[in-house]
Amino acid sequence: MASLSFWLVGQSSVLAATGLGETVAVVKSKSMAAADQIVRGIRLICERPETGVSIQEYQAQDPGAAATLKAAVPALIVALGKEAFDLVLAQTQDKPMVVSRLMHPADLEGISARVAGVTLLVPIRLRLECLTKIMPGIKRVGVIYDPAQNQADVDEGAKAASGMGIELISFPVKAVEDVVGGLSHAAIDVLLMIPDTTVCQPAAIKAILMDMAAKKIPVVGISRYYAQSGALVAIEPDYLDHGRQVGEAALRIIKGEKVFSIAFVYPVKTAYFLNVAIAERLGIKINEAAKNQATGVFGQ
Amino acid sequence: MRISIATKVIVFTAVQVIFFTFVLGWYFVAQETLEARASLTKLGSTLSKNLARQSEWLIVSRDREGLRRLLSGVLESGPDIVYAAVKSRNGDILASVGQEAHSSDVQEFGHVVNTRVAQSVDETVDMTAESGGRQEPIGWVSLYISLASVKKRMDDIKNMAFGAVFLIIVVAIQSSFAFTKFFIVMPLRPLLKGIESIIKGDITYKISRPPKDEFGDIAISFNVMVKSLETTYVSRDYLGNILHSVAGALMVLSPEGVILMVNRAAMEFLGYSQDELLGQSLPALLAEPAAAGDYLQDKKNVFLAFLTKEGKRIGSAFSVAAMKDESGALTGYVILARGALIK
Repeated sequence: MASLSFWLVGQSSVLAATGLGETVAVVKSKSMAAADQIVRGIRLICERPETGVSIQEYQAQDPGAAATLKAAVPALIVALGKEAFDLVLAQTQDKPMVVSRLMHPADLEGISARVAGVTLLVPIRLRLECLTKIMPGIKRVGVIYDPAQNQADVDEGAKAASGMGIELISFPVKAVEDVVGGLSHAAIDVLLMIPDTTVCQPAAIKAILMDMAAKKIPVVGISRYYAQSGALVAIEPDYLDHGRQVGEAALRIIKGEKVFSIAFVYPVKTAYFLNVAIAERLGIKINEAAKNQATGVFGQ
Repeated sequence: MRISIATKVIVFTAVQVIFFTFVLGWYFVAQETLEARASLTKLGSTLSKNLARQSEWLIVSRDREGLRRLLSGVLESGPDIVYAAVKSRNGDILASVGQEAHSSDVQEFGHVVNTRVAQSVDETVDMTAESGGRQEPIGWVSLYISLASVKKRMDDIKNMAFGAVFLIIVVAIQSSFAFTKFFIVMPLRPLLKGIESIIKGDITYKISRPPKDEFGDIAISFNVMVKSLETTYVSRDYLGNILHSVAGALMVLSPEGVILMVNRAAMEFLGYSQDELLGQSLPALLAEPAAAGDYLQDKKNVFLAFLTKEGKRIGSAFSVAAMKDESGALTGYVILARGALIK
């Protein structure tokens, strides 16, 4: 009997350690177009047979999402995007959480004991690495941004660029109306855009694309929509790989690791989209290998 | 003061027509004014809204030349647009065309220029799509539209309405005049002619082809009345012939003794004509007037002495018969000479 009790305790310890039988709630934001790809990546990691973890998906915009989430009692909640993050943060007080969205480490200040972050923010270094594969000869890369939001990233990116033999020329702007004016004397090979609420506004994006097209300067956007709208290249995280990163963080927490011990995770793989019509208009020749490796090619 | 039916009808119609046409004219002008103003407001609002939409990225890109070209296009799109301007969020004029004028002849339309702004960095990923973010003001567009053409249009409408009212009044008066003449005055004429004929003693007048309306009913009634009168007149003549054929003098008196009827013999007896005798009082013809009351009794025989026209005294035995109606009330006397005249 005593040996049986010991065996049961041992088994439950093993179950607790592996997370067998636990449920992970994944709450998606409607506005996050890549959410399904990320979920696929999460499932690839978490739903491996040996983990025993099951995934439950929720939509943050569903009227009963909060109540359903509370009733479900998951071991961990994964929030994909801002709406999901806001909802989960407001509705659950003590559940550990992994959040996937465009964010800086500073955005998790005060909640890092409970929330582990896997950002969608592709570092400038990674963007430049991707870009040099597509346009190997570039030397002067412009980056337009609001210093209040992205100065640290740009500084870090400038260092990385320097190591790659590229000069990162910064164009800081403080208001959306200053965007095109700020680029009026840009002597650059390519303009790199980064996620920034001052710059990445519809009218400003349109103005940038038209202004740069007139100056025959290619633009590198932050998502496939930019390439569709007239950017030569758009670099975004590899969402499937990002999902894996989220899944791994989630699994570590389920296995018993403390949330605060999990470091802020950046994307390590990128995907890019090309607009060959823009390339043709700008007189830029894109090599076939770059075209073949692109996740999507527009303007064919 | 005699006012004819035609005048009354025309005045009545004219007053009504003037009142209603003025009310309708006023309503029409008021409606047109409202519509013109609403149309102008809609035009101004639509133009300024479109201009604001098209200015969005030009403001963002601070493309003053592009804005000026856009405004020039707006100015050329309508002769009534006299001024157009685009201002920044701070109120600085980025571009303007035309002459800015503040007067009652110009109406200003404005619209805020908004741009969609991502509320979080997450939204910047697909901000090229037409969704997400919130609208934030980045500028203002102003359009000044001249009211000259609207005012001219209103003047034209007022003139047209006044002309129409005047025309309607003239036509209505003419119509009422013609209506009165053809449907009231003309049907009344044969009726009036018939009445005049009867007054003159012609009781044979008939209204031929009476109209098929109320006047026709009156004409038919008139013809029936004439026929009845004709019958009555024939009876009266028949009675008169009987009276005149009586050999003795005969007089019919009222209860007061006034002569109502005499026969030829009585006229010859007294020497008066019929016209002279009718209406005369019996005592005035008697030789002894004071005794007249005594004679006017229901008596078989009484001797009466008269004074002829020539002043001669003449007498005879008369039979006096009192006439009574069905209730027994006295209605008059019949005096008939029974014997020879005594001079």
